Amino acid sequence: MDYSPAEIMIVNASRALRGSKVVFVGVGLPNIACNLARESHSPDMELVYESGVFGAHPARLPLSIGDPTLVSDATSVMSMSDLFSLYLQGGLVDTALLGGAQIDRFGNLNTTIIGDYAKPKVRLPGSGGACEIAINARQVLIIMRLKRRAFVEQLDFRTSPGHLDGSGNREALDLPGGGPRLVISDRALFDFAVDSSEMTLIEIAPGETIESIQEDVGWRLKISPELKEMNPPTSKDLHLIRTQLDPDGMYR
Amino acid sequence: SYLGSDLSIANEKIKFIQDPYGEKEIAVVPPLKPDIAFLHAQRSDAQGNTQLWGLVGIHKEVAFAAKHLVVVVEDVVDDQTIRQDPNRTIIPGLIVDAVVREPFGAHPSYVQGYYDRDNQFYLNWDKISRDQQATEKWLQEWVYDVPNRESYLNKLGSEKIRLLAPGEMWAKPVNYGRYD
Repeated sequence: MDYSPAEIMIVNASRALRGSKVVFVGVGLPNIACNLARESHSPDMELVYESGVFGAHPARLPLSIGDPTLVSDATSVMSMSDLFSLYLQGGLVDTALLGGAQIDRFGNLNTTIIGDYAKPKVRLPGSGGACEIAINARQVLIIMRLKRRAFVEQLDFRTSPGHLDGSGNREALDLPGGGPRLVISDRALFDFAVDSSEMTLIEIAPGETIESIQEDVGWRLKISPELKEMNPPTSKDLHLIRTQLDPDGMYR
Repeated sequence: SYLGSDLSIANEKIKFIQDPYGEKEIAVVPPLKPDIAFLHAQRSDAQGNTQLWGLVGIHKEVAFAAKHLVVVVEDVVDDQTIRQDPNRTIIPGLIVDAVVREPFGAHPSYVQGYYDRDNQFYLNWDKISRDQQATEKWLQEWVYDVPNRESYLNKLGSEKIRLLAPGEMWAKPVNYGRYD
């Protein structure tokens, strides 16, 4: 069965969410992934939105985190200050889903600028809550298309800390959360080595090779000895996404 | 916190100081003090005691930080209505300089329970705002050439307004109790 890059990322993110109880969600792919997880294996998952919602049950696909569908039927709605201090900094968020324009080998993310900060080539949306989320969530799943311009040796700007310069750095700075656990791209999955915290290729999509992945990564990739082929989305997953979770194909 | 991020390099107002209760450094930022703030809400009384529900974002902080505050509301209600549900009063009239009754005043954004977010507008705006000429044309048509909110709504059209009306989902009333 044919599937799009977005769909395989949604399905892999949903699979990686198994076991997470409280999930900090963004709009777009993360939102669909969480709803897929809830429909398939994690019906009790609590969705948290940075606009101030805990336990959201959105009845439609929100296009913005400021969407009234996040409020109706939610368990709790609060100020953003309460959400960030009491819930996020309080250590209650198991998993957060983040993305970015650039990522480096330690899972640090750039959502601020491309080029020089004072004279940027592209001005990106910025941090929003991302930096605080990256610091405090117990673990972070990163969802990004695999492209050479995105997987870079050196970030133009480090908006959100991942594993910084490698093992031990997060602890040294006293960052409470565990940092990135998985990078979910359309063509490969990566985890982070226990010893060095370096991004490691663990799964490749059907039709890809180590070489084809390496070609779009700006540093010499670490390869897992247990490297395997990615399970494609099931027809059930695709059916749910296409008929129920994103029927208009906004994110396909 | 801002530890481990370049944000504190880009923004010199983010500073690190010694945690007075510990060994480590903590990040601090200065307070924002707007001269004037405009907030939209569902309802207030004539004194500006304002109730809002749905996403409350940073409304309360903005209201108390600003030197002057204007609240724009869908409905002006009597003070009895406000006092029947004091937990919902986020902004006291004490800090409100002016109340403006302007139904549908938040469009293209939404007001919980009153009208929906006009998502089509935002999708169109993504395209318009990429282009200088298109942006100027839009401003001319929808801002400069529109004398007041009423003509804005007339221009928007009753069909659009009808489409943005949400279905109903009422909360059960709560009992505050009478303690006389």
